Order: sequence, then structure tokens, then C-alpha cells
Amino acid sequence: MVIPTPLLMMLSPIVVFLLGFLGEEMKIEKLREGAAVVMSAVSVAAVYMLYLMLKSTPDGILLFHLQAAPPLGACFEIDMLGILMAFSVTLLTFFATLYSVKYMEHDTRLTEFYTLLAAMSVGMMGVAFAGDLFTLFVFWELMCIASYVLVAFRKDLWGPIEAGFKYFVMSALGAAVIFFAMAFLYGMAGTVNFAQLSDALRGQPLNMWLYMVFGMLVVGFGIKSAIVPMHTWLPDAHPEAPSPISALLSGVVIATGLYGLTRVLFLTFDPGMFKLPIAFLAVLTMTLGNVMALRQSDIKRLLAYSSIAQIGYMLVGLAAGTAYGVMGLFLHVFNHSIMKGMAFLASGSIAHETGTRDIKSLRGVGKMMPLTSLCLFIALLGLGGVPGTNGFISKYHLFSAAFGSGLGWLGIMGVLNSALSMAYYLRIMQVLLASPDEGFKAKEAPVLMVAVTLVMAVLIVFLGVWPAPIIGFATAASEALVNGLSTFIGAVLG
Amino acid sequence: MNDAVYLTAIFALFSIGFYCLAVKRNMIRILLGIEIILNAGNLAFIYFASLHSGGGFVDPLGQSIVIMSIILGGCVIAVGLSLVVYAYKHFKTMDVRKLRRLKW
Amino acid sequence: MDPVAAMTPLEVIMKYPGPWLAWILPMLGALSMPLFERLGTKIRDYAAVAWGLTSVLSAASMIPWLFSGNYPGDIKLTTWINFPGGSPLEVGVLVDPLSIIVCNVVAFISFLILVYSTEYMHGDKHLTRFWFFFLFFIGSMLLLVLSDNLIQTMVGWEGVGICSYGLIGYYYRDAKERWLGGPPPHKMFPPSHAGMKAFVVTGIGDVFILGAIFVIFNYAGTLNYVDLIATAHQWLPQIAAVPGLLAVTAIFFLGGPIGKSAQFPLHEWLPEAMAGPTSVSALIHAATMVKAGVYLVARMSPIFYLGTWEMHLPEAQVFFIVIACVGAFTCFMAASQALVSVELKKILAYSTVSQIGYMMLALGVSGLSEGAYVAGLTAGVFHLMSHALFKAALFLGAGSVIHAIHTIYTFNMGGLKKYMPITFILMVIATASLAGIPPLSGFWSKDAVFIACLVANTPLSLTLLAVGAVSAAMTFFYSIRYIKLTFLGHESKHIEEMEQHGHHPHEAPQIMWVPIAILVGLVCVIGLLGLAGFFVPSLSPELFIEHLLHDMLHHMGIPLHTHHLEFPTILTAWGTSAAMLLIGGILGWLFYLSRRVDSWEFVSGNSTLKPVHTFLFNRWYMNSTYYKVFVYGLIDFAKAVFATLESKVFDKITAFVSDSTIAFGKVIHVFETKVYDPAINVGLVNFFVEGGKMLYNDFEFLLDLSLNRGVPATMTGLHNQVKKLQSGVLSYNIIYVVIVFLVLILGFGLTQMYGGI
Repeated sequence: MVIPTPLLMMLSPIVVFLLGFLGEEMKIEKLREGAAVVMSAVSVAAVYMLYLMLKSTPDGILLFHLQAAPPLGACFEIDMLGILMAFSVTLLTFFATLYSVKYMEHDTRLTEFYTLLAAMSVGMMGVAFAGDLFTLFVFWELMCIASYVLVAFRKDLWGPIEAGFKYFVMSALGAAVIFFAMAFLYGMAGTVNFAQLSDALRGQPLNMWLYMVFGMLVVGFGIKSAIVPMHTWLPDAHPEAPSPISALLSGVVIATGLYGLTRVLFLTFDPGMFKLPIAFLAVLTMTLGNVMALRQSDIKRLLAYSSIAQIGYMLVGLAAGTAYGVMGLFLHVFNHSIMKGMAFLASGSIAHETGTRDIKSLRGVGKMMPLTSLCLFIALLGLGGVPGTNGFISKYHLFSAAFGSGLGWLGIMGVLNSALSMAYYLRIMQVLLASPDEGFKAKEAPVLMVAVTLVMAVLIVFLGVWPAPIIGFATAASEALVNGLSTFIGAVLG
Repeated sequence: MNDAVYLTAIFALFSIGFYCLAVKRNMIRILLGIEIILNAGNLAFIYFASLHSGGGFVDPLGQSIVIMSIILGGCVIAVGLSLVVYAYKHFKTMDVRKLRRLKW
Repeated sequence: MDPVAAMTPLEVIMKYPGPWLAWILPMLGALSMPLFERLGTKIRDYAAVAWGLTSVLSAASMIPWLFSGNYPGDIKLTTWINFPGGSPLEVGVLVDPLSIIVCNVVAFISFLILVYSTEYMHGDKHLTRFWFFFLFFIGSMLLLVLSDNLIQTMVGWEGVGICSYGLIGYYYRDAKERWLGGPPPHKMFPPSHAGMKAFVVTGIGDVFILGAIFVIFNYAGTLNYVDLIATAHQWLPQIAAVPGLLAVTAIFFLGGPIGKSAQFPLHEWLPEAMAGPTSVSALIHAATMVKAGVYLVARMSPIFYLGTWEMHLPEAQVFFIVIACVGAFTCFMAASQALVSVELKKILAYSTVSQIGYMMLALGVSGLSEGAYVAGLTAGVFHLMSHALFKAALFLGAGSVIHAIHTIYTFNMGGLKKYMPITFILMVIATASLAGIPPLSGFWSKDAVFIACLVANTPLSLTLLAVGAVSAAMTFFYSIRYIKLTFLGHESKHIEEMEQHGHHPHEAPQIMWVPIAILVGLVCVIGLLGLAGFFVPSLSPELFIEHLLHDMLHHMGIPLHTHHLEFPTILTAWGTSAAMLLIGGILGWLFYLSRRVDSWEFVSGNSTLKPVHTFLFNRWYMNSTYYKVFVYGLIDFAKAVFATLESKVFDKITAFVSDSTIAFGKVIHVFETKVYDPAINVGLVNFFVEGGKMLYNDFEFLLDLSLNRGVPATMTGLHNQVKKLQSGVLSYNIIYVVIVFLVLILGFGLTQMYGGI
């Protein structure tokens, strides 16, 4: 089958690399930055085109395969959920790339940087679009390898190298465990295609092998999405990476892990089976994330812990196991990608201008960098779930989904944790607004960086007061996953 | 009988890999641990492909996946090794437990 | 109304521009103020007036619908939020006679005051802020009035609250001359304190109304006014099925209007709110914002009317009884406080509170008997309109006086008649309207309230009528008092001092008195129309409003029973008014105009009246009680809690917890250094030499590790000591993974499969 034009944007890393190389050779200033920004913008447009194509199909699924038909050929099966995920990824990648143009301008090896950035984004998109386990695994590794190098990008410092190595070991272990689990799924079903897998396994009586596969899937994807207690790499890796990369890692990479987990679990198991363990992990994850964030002194490390807590909230939606819960999950994935991405970009601007990430020494930054601080405030309020921001909307749906599926205690834990989390968000605001120490000087970040954060802040508030479109989008996505499973299977097999 | 041998080997490799990761201090050995777990997966795929044989041939799907996964594993380990090199430059040691400046 | 559903939002706005642009444009204008400031202060002021004008024109474009009787009703724009288990919340405007009348009153008066402010606030350095709040206020208020659902109303409601807070505290630098209260030795408070007080006190009411809205949404599943009324027969009985819930909901719902409209017991913020610029007091605290509560009560009253008289739910009537009693009591109490107040604006503020009491009373008695509904509603809306006109005029006049002689105290005024003749005449006419002297508008509207009480004709309504009548006498009395103290008699010391310094009090400039004159002109016109309506019924404004409201209620499908007004009823109401005017007038004439009796001597010489005066002057001791109980009381309570509970109990718990955690950590540490590390340190060679034995040991340690480190570390994490988990040692991290893996497979899998290990 012919590969449709929008999917050609998956070649963007190659284009960025070639143009960047050309620019360096021919001494054309900013060619690679231009190429990277344009390609990331094209990706957003391409996802939108795919969305339109998907809208026009009758059964809500787009099928593309290379060479042979499934099960042998690798294939993409794009449904609304994949589009939503890809949309979050490409949108945040676009913002991060634009931000990097200014933020990274004094670094060297920028061609590699932008190529890897594009590769990571393509990897995540591939995961979102994958139609079989093996395609998922290949793109998963593409995403992982790019992110290892990006975390350790500033290789002359010890911090990124240490964090990068730990991240590498943990994440590679996770990928290996996923691969191992795939082998067993293949062994039981004789195929790796999602639809056929689901057809063969879902509804079967559970046996020991399936429980083992379940455990492996949770561990493998859980390492990537930093479910406590497999989160230990995250607080090291996210702060040590360059800020745009932190934004991507915290905003979408961990969410991609969660996407993989949700997708495979729903294909293979009945929600009733994994409700309790996931609920337990959710409580553990959000509580530990919040408790650890309470007394952090490094602003980016604090945000990293807050990401762990947010993953806990998302797991609530998975634990609920209903279409409504999954809707809350992916609504929060989208909202969190904007909020956390922006929080990292804004704190990156602050660290960039003041040269420190220590919260205590940031007193009075609010007066010197008003716009950046305002953006950071909006992001933090959103993360805390204050009404009027998009964070409130998705958290509300998540917790009410928990109540709706008989997990009231989980919802209550979530609300309590949400309240707890405001403590450290408010602490940051308080420090930024305090009167500055003697001799402490900083100026507002460069226009481009401020502009990116401002646009994202506007998005946060806009989606907070006008959530209808994105809720509709997320509802369609969750319907595709939970209720549309038979259509999914029918479309692929029939 | 045959099945038991293969499965034992697969799980033995899997466990050895975990053991290696958890206990060893040398970075190179840790990379080897990852490789061992990946190979456990590869072995499992090969074994299951043989179970799904149709018409006298083993299932080509499992085999092709293994070939791709070996390539991917090579890439991952290459990145890991380059990280080890830089880690050695900074810390002057191969002991992974000396890498504990980042915590809490 | 149906074609609206098929249109895109833009087309809806194009088709019905008035109700949308009326509130959108002022809000845009507010946002544009900082931009206009760049162009110059003069252009900015003109721009503010222009934005106000757009709002007036948009509102006025709705007036033709009033006369044609064919208004568009509920116009929905688009879906805002989808609620699970309820109909979606839609952005929309509700255009019916009630909202058209109120929104035109608001827009028109706001515009006049906007014009007045250009001169009154001239030269102030922070005018951008002033215009921002002013325009945003107009937008929020019109949003509140035109909204078709409770949530949108609440958005506007809080918007006007914030603007009110910002404008009361406009002089936030708290210069001494702006302080309010006193005169010394009484306590003085800065403007920012007054703003905060207004915010907090109205906030108490808002909490209640939000609670009521949640209850209503929970049962009704919608917040749209039209739907609420249409489906009332379904959800109202459901609420009533829970004993007491409907009454509580009604009372909670009234909490919002009571707070916003400064009714007892949440009235204490309004007198202090006079700390803002006078034009703001005229706009927000006399003419418009404080009427929001009246409007909301009127808006929701059909539901409770249906509940009382159609579904015969006795608890629904609580709504009307409470608001009627609160209104009458507030009316009396505030009028009594106005008798003795010494600040000109404060007298007017008390008077405002008192007059809103009349409106609430009218709305309350409307539900006391089946036939009084339309009469009561009409009286409330009519008095709202006429009061807005004359009270805005009075405040603006007071503003001119204060502008001219720089004092807020009446005892520093006096004899201003000859310096400010125009202001004097305008103020006297407006005051006459306030006092209810025929044939001005105030007479007709107050009369309508009395008639509503008579029509209801229950023991309660007649008692409340008596309270209202006494208040009417007091109203005339304090009206005479402040006119006398301000304009008549001799100049006070303060003015004489001013003259000696060469500052002559001067008449207000044209741009200030013309808006007042327009307002007073309208007061006269409405009054004369009322008189004419006595002979030609089609001219009567009261009958016109009654006709419109009757129409509107009819459209909503509410069965109405109207009594034909009998002449004796009207005559009784007139008689009451006249008698009360006579009593108030004679006393006022004795005390102030003819100076037959010296008021101060009379009061201080009489052992009964002296305590009464003190009691009134201290505002019935309500303010100080509130402060004592809620403000200082809470502070004391917090201190007590800290002294006893926190320092004695909690601190010890904290200390105990942290000590035990540290001790626990030490145990772990010993275990780690003595047992774990040596075991791990055995290298590869030893592995081969020791062989299987060592492997066995390592596994054992692994198990130990999982029990002694993983589990407790998670537990202690709750005590902020989970840092141990984040040790930075890679091996431990891997072990966590193994633990999760094993727990998931063994713990979970086995328990699920075999029903327990």
C-alpha cells in the first residue's frame, strides 16, 4: 500500500540532518535551526492532515502497511487515540524546537541536537501510530536512543553523564523487559499485530503466563513512565538535560510510556483484572512524587518530582478502566504536556538568565523577569489544578472517573495529593515574588523564549475556560480505545 | 522435555541478566547484563517461532523480529559504551557506585 | 428562537448584536486602556467615554423589543462545558423584559457617571487603572444581567465584586485624608481595609449561593434559567422530598443577594465602601452593583413561586418569607442609622441600604399570597429603576460638594446654597424623590411597594408594611437633615477657614452638573408620567412594567392570578405615605428647618434619647460585634490554638516522629555497612571460587534487602524521609524494579488465581 504523504514527515530527522550538514559546510547561518523549526511545524500540520483523513473514514481507523499485509509486514494502525498522542508530541516538539533556537545558541554540535530532537519526536509518533508490537518496539528504541544522547548532550559536565548513564541502564532494561513480554505474547497468540493479538487473547481465562506478561508490561513500560518505585532515574535525568529536552521528556516521553501501557493492557486484558494493582501503584506514585517534591531545593528537580506525581494522577484514569477514565487520562496527558513543558521552559529561562537552579537564591526573580515568572505561575497553578486552568479540567475528570468506577478511595487520595502538591507550587511562587537580595540582578529572557512560554500560557488558560474542543477530541480517542475495540479488530482482520 | 529445556534457558538468562544489573559494579558488566536480557528475549522469540511452525517451516515472523532486535540491541549498547567512556573521563573509575553525586 | 440552534456563533452575534456587544465591548475597552494610555491621557479619557457609549447604544438597541413585545428570549451561542450527568453548559444571553430594563438602566447610568468622572477624577495619576476597573465593571454587570445561566451570572457576579474591591481600594496608598470612619475618637480605617472588608463580607454570601447552586444543579441537571423554570415541576419536588433541604437551599441562595445587596446581616461593608472615589460610590454602591442581588432574586423568584403555589411545597415559601423579613428589617435599621450619621456619603449609603430593603420587601411579599406576585415583582423592579436614577444623582451631587470643599463631614458644610445653586436645586429634587414626595418617581415606586404589601394582605405582609411605613417617615426626616446641614444655615468653621485662605467654594463645572441634571430630569419625567398614568393608564410606567413582566411570566408558562387593583387599596397606600411624610416632615421641620428645637440639646438633655443616639451612631453595635467575634476573635483563637495545641502537642509529635525516623535510619545504616556491603563486594573471581554457595547467599541478601529496605523506605517516605529511596545507587534502583516485578507476579497473580496464598 502506498504510504500517504503526511506520514512522510517521519523522515524529518533525515531532512534536518542533511540541511544542517549542508548549512555547516556552506556556512549558511541558521539553516539548520530553520530546517528544524520548519520540519517540526510541518509535523504538526501533517498530524492535522492525518486527523482530517481519519475523520473521513467510516470505521475510524487508518491502516498503512509496508510490503506484506499483517501479520508479516510492519504496519501503522492510526486511530483517534494515536492522533491525540501524536498531536501532543508534535505540538510540544514544535514549542521546544522554537525555544531551543535561542536557548541552545551557544552550544556546539547543534546539527546532532536538532536531528536527535526530531528523531525522538518521530519515535514517539511511531509508538503512537504503531499497529503491531514490533513496530512499537522499533520506534520505542528510536525514541529511547535519541533521548539517551540528548540527556547526556552536555558531555563535558559530570551531571548529565551520570544522569544519562543511570537513565540509560534503567530505560534499556525497561525496553528489554518489554521485548521479553512481547516474546511471550507472540508465543501465546502467534502474532504481534494488535488486532489479531486482541482477538486471540482478550477474554481468555487468565493463566500464570498472562499474569507474568502483565507484570512484565507494567515493569517495562512503568520504568519509562516513572511509576514508583521504578522512577529513580527520572529525578536525575530530567533536570540534568538541557531545558527544552527536559520539557519533552517530562511532557511527552513519560506519557508515551503510559500510552504504550494503556494500549497493550486494553488490547490484552479486561479492565477488571488490572484495576487494583494499577490503583495501588497510582497512589504510591502520586504520594511519593508529592512528598519528595516538598523539600527540593532545585527548581527543575522539583518539577521532575511533580511529573512523577502527575503520572500518578494519570494512572488513576487507567485504574478506573472505563472509557471516561481513559478520556481523563489522555486529556491530562495533553494538558500536562503543555503545562509541564512550559514549566520546564520557563524555569529554563530563569536558570539561563540567573545561572542558578537553587530555589532559595531565586528571590525576587518575579520582579526582574515578570513575563517569564507570570508564565511559570500559570503553569504551576495549572499543575496544582486551580480552576480556570486546563489542569483543573482534566484532574476533575480523572477523579470523578475514579468515583464513577467504584474506586472512591482512589479519588479521595488524588484530591488529597492535589492539595498537598499546592504546598510546593506556592513555595516557588512565594520565593519568586519575595523582595530580591542585595546585588542580585537578572534581566528578562530573550524575546523568542518569552514568546514561546507566553503562547503556551495562553493555551493553558484558554483550554481551562474553553475545554469543550479538547474534551471532544479526548472522548473520541477514549471511545476508539475502549469501546471501539471490535471495530478496530474488524477493520484490520476483515 | 524439549520445551522445558528452552524455557529454563530463557528464564535462566533473564535472571542472570537481572542479577548482573543489580549486583555488578563494573559499568561494562552492566551493559552485558542488558545484552543478556535482550538475548533472553531473542531466544524466546526463536523458540516460540518454532512452536508456530506451519508446513515444516518455522514462523518467519519471529525470526525476522530477532534479526531486527539484534541490530537494535547493538545500537543501544553502542550508545551505552560511549556513555561509559565519558563517565570514565569524569569519574576516573568504572565502578558504577561511585556515580552517586546526584541523589535526593 | 429555533433557527439560532443551526447558526454558527458568529452568525448568532451578527443576528442579535445588542445583547452580546453590550458586555463584550466594555470588557474589550477595559483591556484596551493601557494601549490608549500610550497615545496620551486625554485620548484615553475620551476612549473610555466612547467605549461606554458603545455599551449604551448596544443596550438601547434592545428597547424596541420591549414595545413590540416580541423579544428573542434565550439566545445560545455555543457549548461551553460538557458536564457528566447533566445538560451541557452553554454560553448564551437571555433577553426578556426583566433583563432589558435592568441592563438599560445600568448602561445608561454608567455612561452618565463615566462622563461625570472625566471631570471629577481629572488629574489623578492612576486613571488608567480607574478606567480599566470602571469599564470592566460595566461589562461584568451587563454580563451578569444578560446571562442565561447561573454560572455565567456568577462569572459576572465575581467580576463586579473584584471591580468593586479594586475601586473601593482605589486610593490604596492609604493617605490619611482618605481614611474613613470617625470623626476621632472613633476608629478610622484606610481605604484598602474597606475594600478588603467589602470583598470578604460579600464573599461570605458568595460561598452560600455557590452551595445552593450545587444543590440545584445536582437535582435539576441544568443551570439555564429557562430550563430551570420549565423543568421546575420535576426537580423541585425532588429537593423537597428531603425534609428541610429546600428551605436550606432557598436560604443559602439568598445568601448571595443579601451579601451583594448589603442586606442584614451582611450589610456592614457598604458604609465603609464609601472610601472609594465618589463617582464610584454612585455607580457601584448606589445605582448598579448593589442591585445585582435584587435582580437575581427577581430572576429566580418564578421557580419558588411555582413551588409555593403550584406544587404546594410549604418549604418553597421560605424563600419569600426570609427575603421579605430581611428586607423590611434592613430598611428600618439602615434608616435609623442614617438619622445620626455625620458623613454625607455615609448617610446616602445607609439610605441606599434602606431603599434596597424596600425592593427586597416587595419581592418578598410577592410570594406571600398568590395574587400579589406580579404586583410585588413590578414594585421591586420599578423601585430598582427609580432608585437607581435618584440615588445616582444624589451621590454625584454629594461628589460635587465634596469636590468643592474637600470634606466628608456634614458638620463642616452648611450654607452652600449660595455657592452652588444648581447643585442645590438638583439635590433637593432628587432628595424629594428619595423621601417620596409626590409626584416624583420615588413616590410612585415606593407606593407600589406599599400596594404590593396591601395586595398580599396576610398578617405578615401588613406587619412588614408597618415597618416600611415607619422607615418612610425616618427617610423624610434624615433627608431634611442632610439638606439642611449641607446647604442651608450658616457656613461652618471649615468653610470660613477656606474663605480666609482664598479658596471660595465654587459651583461644579458644567460637565459635572449636566449628568446630574439629566438624571434628575428623568426622575421628574417618570414622576409626571406616573401622575399622567393616573388619568391615562397607558402612560403609567408602573403599569407598563407590570404589563411587560406579566407577558414575560406568561411566556415562561407560569399561571398567574392577578387582582384588579381596587381604589381603596390605592387610597390606603397613599394615605400611609402621606401620613408618614407628615410625621417625618413635622419632626424635621421642628428640628432642622425652623430650629424650634435644637437637636443636639434635645438629645443630650434627654436621658432616654442619649443612649439611643449612641446606639444608632455605633451602628447598633453590629460592626464592632462582627469585628470582635469574627476578626479579633479568630485571631485570638488562632493564638490560643498555637499556644496550647501546637506548641504543646504537635511539636512534640513532630519531634518524636523525626527522632524515631533517625533512629530507624541508623539501624538500616548498620545493617548496610556490616552485612550488605561486604557481601556485595565479593568480585567475579570469588564468584567462581565460591560457586553456588555464594549465589545462594546473595539471593538471601536480596530478599533481606527487599524486606528491610524497600518496604520500610516507602513507609518512612510519608515522613519526608523517603530520600533514602533516591539513593543515587544504580543497583538499588534495579532491585526496586525486581521487587515490583515479583510483587506483581507472585503477590497479585497468585492471589487472583488461587484466591489467596
